[in-house]
Amino acid sequence: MNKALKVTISIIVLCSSLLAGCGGSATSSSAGTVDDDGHITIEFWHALGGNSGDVIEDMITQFNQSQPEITVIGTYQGGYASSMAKLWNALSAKTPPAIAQIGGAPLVGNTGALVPITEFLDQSESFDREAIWDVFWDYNSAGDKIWSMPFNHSVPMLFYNRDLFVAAGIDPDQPPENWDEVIQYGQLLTADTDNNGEIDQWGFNTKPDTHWFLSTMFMQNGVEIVNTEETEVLYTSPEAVEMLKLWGDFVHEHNIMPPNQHNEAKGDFLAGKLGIVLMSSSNVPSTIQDAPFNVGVSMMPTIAGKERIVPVGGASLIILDHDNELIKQAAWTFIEFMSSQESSLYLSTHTGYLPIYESALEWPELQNYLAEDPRSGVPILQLEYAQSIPLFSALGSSDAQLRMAVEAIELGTASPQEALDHAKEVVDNIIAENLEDF
Amino acid sequence: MSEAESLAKMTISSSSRKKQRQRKENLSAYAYLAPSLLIFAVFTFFPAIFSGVASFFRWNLPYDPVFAGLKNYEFLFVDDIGAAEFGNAVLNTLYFMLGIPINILVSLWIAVMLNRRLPAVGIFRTAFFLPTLTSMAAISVVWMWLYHPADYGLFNSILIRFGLPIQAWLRDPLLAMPCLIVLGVWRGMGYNIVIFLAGLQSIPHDLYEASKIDGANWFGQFRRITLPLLSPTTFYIAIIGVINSLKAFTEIDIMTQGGPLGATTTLAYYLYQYAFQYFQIGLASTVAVVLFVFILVLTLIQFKVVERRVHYG
Amino acid sequence: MDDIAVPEVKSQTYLKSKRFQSAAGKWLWYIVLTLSAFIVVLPFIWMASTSLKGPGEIFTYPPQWIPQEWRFQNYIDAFQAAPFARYFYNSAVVAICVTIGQLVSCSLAAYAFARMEFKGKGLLFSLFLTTTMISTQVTLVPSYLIIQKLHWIDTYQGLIVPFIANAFGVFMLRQAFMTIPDELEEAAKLDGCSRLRFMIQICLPLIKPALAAQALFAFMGTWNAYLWPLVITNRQEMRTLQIGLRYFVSQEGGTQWGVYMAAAMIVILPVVAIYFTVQKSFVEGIATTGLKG
Repeated sequence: MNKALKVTISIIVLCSSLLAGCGGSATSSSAGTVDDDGHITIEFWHALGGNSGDVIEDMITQFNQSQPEITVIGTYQGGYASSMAKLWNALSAKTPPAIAQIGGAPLVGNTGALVPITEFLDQSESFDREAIWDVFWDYNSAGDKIWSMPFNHSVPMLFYNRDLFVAAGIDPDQPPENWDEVIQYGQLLTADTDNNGEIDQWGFNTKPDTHWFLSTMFMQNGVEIVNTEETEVLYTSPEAVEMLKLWGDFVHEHNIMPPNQHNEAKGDFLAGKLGIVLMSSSNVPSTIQDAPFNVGVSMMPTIAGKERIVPVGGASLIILDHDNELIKQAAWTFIEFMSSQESSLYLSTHTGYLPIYESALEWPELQNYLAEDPRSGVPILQLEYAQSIPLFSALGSSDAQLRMAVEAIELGTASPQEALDHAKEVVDNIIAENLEDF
Repeated sequence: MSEAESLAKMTISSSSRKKQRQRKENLSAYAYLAPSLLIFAVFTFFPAIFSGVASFFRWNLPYDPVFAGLKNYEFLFVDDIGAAEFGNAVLNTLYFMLGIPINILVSLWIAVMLNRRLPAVGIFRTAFFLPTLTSMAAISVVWMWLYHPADYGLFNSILIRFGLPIQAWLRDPLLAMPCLIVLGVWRGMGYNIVIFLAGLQSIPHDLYEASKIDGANWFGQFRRITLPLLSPTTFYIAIIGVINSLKAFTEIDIMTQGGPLGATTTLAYYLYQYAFQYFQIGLASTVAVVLFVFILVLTLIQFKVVERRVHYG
Repeated sequence: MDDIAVPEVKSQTYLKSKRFQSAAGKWLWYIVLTLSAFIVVLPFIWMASTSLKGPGEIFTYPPQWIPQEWRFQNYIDAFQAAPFARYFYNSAVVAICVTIGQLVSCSLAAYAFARMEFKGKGLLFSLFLTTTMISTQVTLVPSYLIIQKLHWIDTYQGLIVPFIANAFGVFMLRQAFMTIPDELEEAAKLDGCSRLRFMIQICLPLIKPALAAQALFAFMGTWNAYLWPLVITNRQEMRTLQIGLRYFVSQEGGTQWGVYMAAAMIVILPVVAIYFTVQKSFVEGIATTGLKG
């Protein structure tokens, strides 16, 4: 054997022996371990970073310290998208954690990877499911099973710059109640403040999850997103077209919203260059803190004369299936804690997520918190009008298609009917495909 | 043994010795290639073949894969909606590649300028390399302000000062791609400058000295010495420029999410969408196969056409 | 008459003189470079400035370059926010190992392609080249499955081994090896030098700039990697700096931009330092090319 070959082989052997020695050891089960003395350690994958991430870590610590049998190890897995990707990878490899936090869990209920919460709820004597808003149970169910435990939910809200309102002659304590007022106020707020011929202050805009806000308008106008059999989407009706047209009018007719600038919306709002913005309620505490002006928070506008309805959003906790009963039970114990009244209170007073309990407004601690800043209470007040959009299999694609329809309308490249027809065609195809396989 | 026999024996043994030598040479070469090949086999070839096979399945995570034959390919090439999307991605990809020659020219010019031993040149070299180093996520905030569509975005505020109309930049379907190309050049030049510097350094100084004695000026030197001797480096940069620009997607994900109206959806971003947003691994694999063939063809063309003009030592 | 003529002639000569031209050239060089460098570095300056701002100052128009209140606290917050020291250690170990691994594997392979003749050379070279064309996004799922089968999740080997080979590096070093004249090799052979020794003792020093470049890229690529470390590490202790950085960004509000930028600055510093040290070798590379040898 020649020298080069010898050298190469020895390098490879050396490196592998070095590497084999170092590095952490993999846990025997990816979901958790049960010690000889009965102590259980389980893995929890969550998607919250930043301030919310710190809060969830605190809650995990509280749980671990509250009892000696179970230790939960929480790890941040990136935002919702990357957490989902990681989870699906882990499921493919059959190495999932014990608990995870995702949005839209019911969509994958029938894969057999999740354990329905219903089982545990039925067994549990202590957990009061009636106390939680029905809408959250709807949002976490598919078929007759509840697939995930409500945890960090949110609703869409209207944020406005009180200082700009005053400057435009609008009463800051009278935020717009309906879309007509939004247009009216928007026109007063839109201005060219430095008189150089370009509008540099807009009246109205939304964050990039435009599908959510459009869905709100659909629901308000009586549009069902999907039919009961979940075989086709229904937003090509005249009522839906009317709403998409209204959206387009914000840009073209009434000139209160710049076309297709949703990525800039939050930054513009914080910089005092935007009068009204639609965002998730989870943005409330950070917006109030970061904005150098007085922030107003109010409920989503309605269609004048029609009912107030809003969708819900956010994420929930799921239990991944596992051979070991003890681990599943431990997972449930943890979830019971994380969605208990105490935890819900903690979460909602430290982040912008909503308390999931109907009685929340009567809790003295929450009342104290709200007394300090009533704005945090507005999202909670909106909960009684919340409804869940059915979680059908192609919901992700449907949302994406609605965003593209909005984009097309704002840029004027399609009529509302055309845009929605196209979206329906794409989504119905995907639904059909999914039904074929399953 | 007769003379003829011994002559024959000598000839045979010398040619078999040659064969033996060649065999030793082969084994030696394979040994040199072995570490790389081993890693590639496990972590690149196997996954690639796996993906190639996956392109014939419908595999929507977290469900199990289902055999689908050529359905995915049909979607990309035949289906009305799928082919429109796919064709759009191909065109955008070709458009995005316009940044490569720009990048090469800019990097070369800067590398030549930095190829001196003057004081503070180290600081300048580091400055031009910074864009390549900074995390895209952090720097995108800055770039979104540069490209802000209102009149207070940096570029627009400059335009206004000269009485020009403001632009929507990233939010304008026509301008979005050029904006990303500029961003790409800004990000990528550091990498190319480093390689050009290394290449420039390997050109022997005596050649320049000799030509100066012959009376050549700077431009003549550049044309007759620098460019030809730099051609292996330039060739390398062109090849990897094509490959990298065809794989780029982070900037697109952060700045435009493939829009507006799909104007910045390149094949790589299209692939990313299907793999990480829609979790349709089967279809994503199909796009990956097509992208691979695309890159392969382009690279082969470059090799056949351009390498002939490359001047090696 | 003569007295008036002399200064005129002298000044003309000076203007045409090499000294003036090279001085003027130098100044021009400095000015052009400074302007271009400034434009290029502008976004980075913005990042640095934001890293010292408190929350109220970040989203202002017109943007403020110099913060009114310098918040060095951001940097302390960044360090304390996550186990940054551990992340730093992990990133460093992985980056260094990958760099060494790549230098070794790429030099060997590049040398073979550049200076050896063997059966299947063309095919193998094409094979190497094709590895660069394979998109990482789709190979992610199968690669993950392999790592999992090897039980390399949450390990250093999982983070290092897949990246020890790099076809870009092979290609670049091949180009570099090809510029070494054959006469040198002949001479070495005559001296009885083995091929491996020739490569290590003579060729490698001659292509130092290319090696330095490759080392830099290997380090940088690994240091900045986000997707792969995220996918194959589940535990905090095994995570790298880039993941730690992403933790600061919250999709639903609450991103502390000042602290985030401070963290981003911290993460960049080692690579900047390495680059600054290494870039000299691109210049001080070779005094001779051995043509005289």
